[in-house]
Amino acid sequence: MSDSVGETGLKFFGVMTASISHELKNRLAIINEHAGLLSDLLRMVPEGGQVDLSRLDRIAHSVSEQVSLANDIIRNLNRFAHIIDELWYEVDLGDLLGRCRALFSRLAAMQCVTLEVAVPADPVRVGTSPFLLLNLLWLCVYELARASTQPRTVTLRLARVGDGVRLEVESLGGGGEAAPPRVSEEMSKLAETLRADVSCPAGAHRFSLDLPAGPAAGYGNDTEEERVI
Amino acid sequence: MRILLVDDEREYVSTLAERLSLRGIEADWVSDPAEAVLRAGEQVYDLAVLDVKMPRIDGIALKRLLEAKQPRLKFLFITGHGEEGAFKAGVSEAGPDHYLFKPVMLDDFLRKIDEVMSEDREEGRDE
Repeated sequence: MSDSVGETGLKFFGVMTASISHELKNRLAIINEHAGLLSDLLRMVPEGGQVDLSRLDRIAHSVSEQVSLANDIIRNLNRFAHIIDELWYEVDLGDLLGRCRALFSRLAAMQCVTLEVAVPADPVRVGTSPFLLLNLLWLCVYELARASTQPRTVTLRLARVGDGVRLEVESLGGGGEAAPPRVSEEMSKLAETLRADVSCPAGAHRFSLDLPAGPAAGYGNDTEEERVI
Repeated sequence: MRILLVDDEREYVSTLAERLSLRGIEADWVSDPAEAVLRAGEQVYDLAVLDVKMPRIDGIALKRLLEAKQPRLKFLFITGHGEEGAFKAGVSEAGPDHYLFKPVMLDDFLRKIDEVMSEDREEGRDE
């Protein structure tokens, strides 16, 4: 793996884990306030008075919901960490796009972007580096988010095209107040490492990423040295 | 004392406001920074408590907008950053003077409010 791809990957890992830590802090903060409110309400019960049990029940329910959300966040973090147990392996791209949404949603929301995923019903499996592909998709989402300040939707779309697979990242809605999106040097290097083509038609708020299809392409026939990038 | 609480985590900010109200502090809350600017045009506040990271307008930028409406308004920031170094590195200008890290214990929060408002009173004595 070239150093620049490695540095881009480390930066991506840092951005994602920092975002996840913010999300967890928010869940803890809410749980903390609910616990405090429970304590406040119990302390305020007059001697011989009654506690509003339905109120306490609602607070307890909210705490459970926050714990469930925090658990989802930690599960996503764990899956993200394990994605680089190996650099190259066969992956279901539909599942990978679902992970993109889970990982990127908070950061996208900060830019007023809602993420959507559109995948075919049948699984599409390819041999690739899931971590580098996630990194490239994040750079596409970030570039589209940067290109406008208006609320909008970015769709991650997956389709089979000929012998290959195409991933599209497209922004709908919002104005183009900032510089239009473009393929950066980091994106090009990641695409090259993935043996993929990345493009962004002039004037469009859309990135297209063409990947070789199937488990063997760019993966199974490699020597061990080639595989370990 | 009247406080405006601004945080995009609705459940967090509403619960915090309720706890402050139980202690006799008038606390209004909003989860949309743009709404905070509107509120500041309608109601005079002593203190604004702002989340740092919010969609569209971050807490630092919101401070400038609120100051334009109410120049004497005091500010306290609440952040989800993990620690002070990351927080200060993450803000685009000289960081705010008063801030707390989530999750915030209410006693610490009340002490910090007192600290911010005491500073105001000391400034008043100097004038």
